[in-house]
Amino acid sequence: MDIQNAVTDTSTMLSRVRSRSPGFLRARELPIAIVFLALCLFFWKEKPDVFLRPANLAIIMRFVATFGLLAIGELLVIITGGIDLSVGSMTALTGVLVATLIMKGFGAVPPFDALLGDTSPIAILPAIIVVLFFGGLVGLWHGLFVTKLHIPPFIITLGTWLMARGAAAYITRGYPIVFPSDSAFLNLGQGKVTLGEGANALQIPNMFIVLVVAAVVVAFILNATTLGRHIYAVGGNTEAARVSGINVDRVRMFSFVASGMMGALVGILLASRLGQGTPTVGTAYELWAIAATVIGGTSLFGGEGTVLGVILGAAIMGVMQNGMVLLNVSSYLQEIVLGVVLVIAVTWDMWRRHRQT
Amino acid sequence: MTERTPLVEIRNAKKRFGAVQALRGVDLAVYPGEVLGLVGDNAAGKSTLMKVISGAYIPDEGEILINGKKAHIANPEDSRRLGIEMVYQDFALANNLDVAANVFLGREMVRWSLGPLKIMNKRAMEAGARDLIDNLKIDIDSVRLKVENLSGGQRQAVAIGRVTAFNAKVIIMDEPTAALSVAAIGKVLDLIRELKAQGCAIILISHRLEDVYEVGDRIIVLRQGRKVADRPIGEDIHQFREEIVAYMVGAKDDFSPEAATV
Repeated sequence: MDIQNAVTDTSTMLSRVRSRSPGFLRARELPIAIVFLALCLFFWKEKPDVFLRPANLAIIMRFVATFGLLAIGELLVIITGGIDLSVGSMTALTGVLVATLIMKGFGAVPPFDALLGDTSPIAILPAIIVVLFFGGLVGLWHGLFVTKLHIPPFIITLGTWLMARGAAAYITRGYPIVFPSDSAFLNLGQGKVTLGEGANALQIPNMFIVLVVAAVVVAFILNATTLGRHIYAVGGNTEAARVSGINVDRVRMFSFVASGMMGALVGILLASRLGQGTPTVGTAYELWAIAATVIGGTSLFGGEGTVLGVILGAAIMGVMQNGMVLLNVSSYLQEIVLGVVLVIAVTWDMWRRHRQT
Repeated sequence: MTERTPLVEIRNAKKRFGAVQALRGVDLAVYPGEVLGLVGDNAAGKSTLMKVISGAYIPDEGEILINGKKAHIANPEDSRRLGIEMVYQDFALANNLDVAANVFLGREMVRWSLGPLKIMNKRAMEAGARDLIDNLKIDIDSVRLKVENLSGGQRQAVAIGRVTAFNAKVIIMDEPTAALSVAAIGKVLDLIRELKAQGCAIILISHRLEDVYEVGDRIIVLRQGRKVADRPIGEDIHQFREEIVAYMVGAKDDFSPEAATV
């Protein structure tokens, strides 16, 4: 009892201190950032010679980019009160699609084969654009079912979760489509930008740069535009948004389209990274992405969540996963630890919310 | 008094839902600077009548006049454009957003547009919300407070205040004092007086007769889809309450067909 009082006292004191502090100290992401930094410090102290090595940082950045991008799409859907379970399977399907389009030409893919005949040589960029567009279309499909037919997001995206995985295996007959090692496409996911010189030069993978760009764009939309405000309003109180004249259906549609495109973007990046379009990639990635959004302070009830928080969530998962590998922790144990972190994050968030009201 | 033009006038409104005749030919008029109480038992037709004015329902028969001119109200946007605003019973605020965001929700001030993306002018909206709050003497420290951190009374004040930010001439309030503490009710009634002083017409739907008595100028009682009383509020509160209840339960009726022939 005394402990509980002490905890409550401390936290009210903290919130009082915070309300008088500059903006960045009041941010909801502060505790998440502190956890992230503490984890970095811990692993750096345990493995000082490896953890901060450029090659290791690049590994972490690729992990964070993969799940951060998926989580940003997921964030948009979750703020409006939905969920998108399809993104993991979508990375497989879109990866297979982009590989097929580049390696075999548009004529090899079922909808196009009747139109284009056997094969036609194509450049990389059109294939990427078509696949991103396809991801958006799948999102639109989800949005239409949710808004017009009132199908729960969980169900309609679960349908795609199965269909996309099945389609990826069907198109490839279960075999990966491998790029030649000199394909220009591989540079997208394997390339990096080197900052500085010598052995300690910082290597920033292209994937991470894509993440930063996407994060800036989405954060700008959420914070500065009417669309962003409406996304939060729809999640906070759908009825209020409706009677305020907000086109609720269009807002929800946008969030699903954005999430679908993020799935496609990650699918393309992973295909490039792995050098192949493979139907088994991205298994359970949607759950990792949802975990990152939740660890980052996003409410699964909708209405709350930020891009910065979500990226910190992905970063916490990335650093923990990487650090445990460095410490030779069994991979089974790693999953247990990450599960515990998720449960703690959600419980803490609920407790904080409960105390507020 | 009777020479003035009503801000909103409804003539002979009829509305049927399947077998239920919700409105059986109701007349209603409300004047500038007037608080009109609208009472009646459940299913008397209050909500239907207000939804006709706010554009949510289209009446089967009857007409709506705004400033003496016949108006076509086919949807909520039409009625809003004509200066009619509705304050919903459950506040209709997004609790996860701050006061300024709620005041301007759906009508954000835009600095510039980038294709379909409209960049908000947050500073102007915060200043606008601050002016509004001060102007209506609403007691809120900061327009950056999230609505979930406000009391029930403050929330209702924001819900009422936000409809006045856009030159509302007629404000319909559906049970604005339900679910509020006594102190908060007092504040909401003060706010209604303030809006009245600024020339708004207010239609106040309430089960709390003492609230209608306190701020209302006139009262209309509906019963089974008909208007049974339309009279100024003046007399002693106990007498007022007794009479209105008599109208509500059907013991009295000023507009019954039989009464008209007598």
